[in-house]
Amino acid sequence: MSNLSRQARIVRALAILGIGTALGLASAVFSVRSIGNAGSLRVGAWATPLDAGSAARGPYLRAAVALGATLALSRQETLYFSAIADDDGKKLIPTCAYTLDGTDLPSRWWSVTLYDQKHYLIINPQNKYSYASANIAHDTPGHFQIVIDRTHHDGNWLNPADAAGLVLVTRVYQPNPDAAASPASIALPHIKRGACT
Amino acid sequence: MIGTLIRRPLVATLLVAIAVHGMAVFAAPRVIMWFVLDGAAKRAGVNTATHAPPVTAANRFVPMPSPDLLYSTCVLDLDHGPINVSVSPGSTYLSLAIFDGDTNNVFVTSDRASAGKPIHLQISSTTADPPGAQAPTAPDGVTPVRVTTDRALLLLRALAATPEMAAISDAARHTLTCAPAS
Repeated sequence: MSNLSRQARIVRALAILGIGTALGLASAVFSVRSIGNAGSLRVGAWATPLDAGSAARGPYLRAAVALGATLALSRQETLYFSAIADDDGKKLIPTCAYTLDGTDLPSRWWSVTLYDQKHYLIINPQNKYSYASANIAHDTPGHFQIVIDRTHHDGNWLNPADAAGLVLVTRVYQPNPDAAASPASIALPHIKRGACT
Repeated sequence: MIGTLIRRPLVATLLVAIAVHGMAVFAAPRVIMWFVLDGAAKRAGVNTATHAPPVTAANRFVPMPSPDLLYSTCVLDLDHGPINVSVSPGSTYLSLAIFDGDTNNVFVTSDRASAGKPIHLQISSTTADPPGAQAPTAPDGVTPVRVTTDRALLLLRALAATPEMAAISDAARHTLTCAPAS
């Protein structure tokens, strides 16, 4: 080892820096994703960070929220639930139809929004991206269905168009005290897969 | 020291990886928030209210925006003293949230908390305090908010889920003012 030439030492130092940096970055991304997920609460197909905007978050959850949902509010103001799979755990994809079946959420107001896998709203001819408690059509008092499909549907319908992947986000603004204290108690919409093309 | 590490490449690589891992996790939120603040400041300046157009697929003003909300912002430069913020809510949901340079949501209030009355805040930074000085005193009726970074973002959200709500919220958010306290 001590006989290494100057050139060999430089090459080795660069290799150490390069491999170490790559390993460090890869492990950081993996840890942020996995620990961020571990810091989430699962409610059926939905997951919510235990406190998206709080200053008390750990560094991994802070990084996960910064990467996925910068400027999220604290839990007392808003609960955020996201879903990337249906009730059976199958990944949401735009070539399948889905029905969200739910009841009004315990809050001042709520919304369900469809994004692509990069959290961008999906360009669609209807320019319709979400439904909120103030504009959704109920089929029976307090109960609603939202259809996600590329073909037209009457009623509450969101068009996934040509999105590469789908993410659903339910926002619960100013949740009732019981819901804020126990997000797992909230009855979130079921996500049922229909026909696929 | 470096020579010793080069002779022990596995140990050296592991040390570099640990250091990069820690720095990346620590820095990611701060770097992202720096870009958010810097982008907003370049678009509209600091300590002034900016009102984003309604959210569409072609218009993304904040990350993962809600199309049921109207957004307004102020980039708060707290280096030279406190900033006063005021807004008069309408008859529907409106909130003001303050995010520090580390992405923490350090404060949030809403029309519900103010019972629909005007909201007045005075935001100051611990980094602007002279050594040994006490925090600035806010006047009566003004809620003081302290942050630990020299810049922060004020984000107004107002419900616009129907055209009627959008009209009410648009009028309300245009009452937002952000200005140095002195």
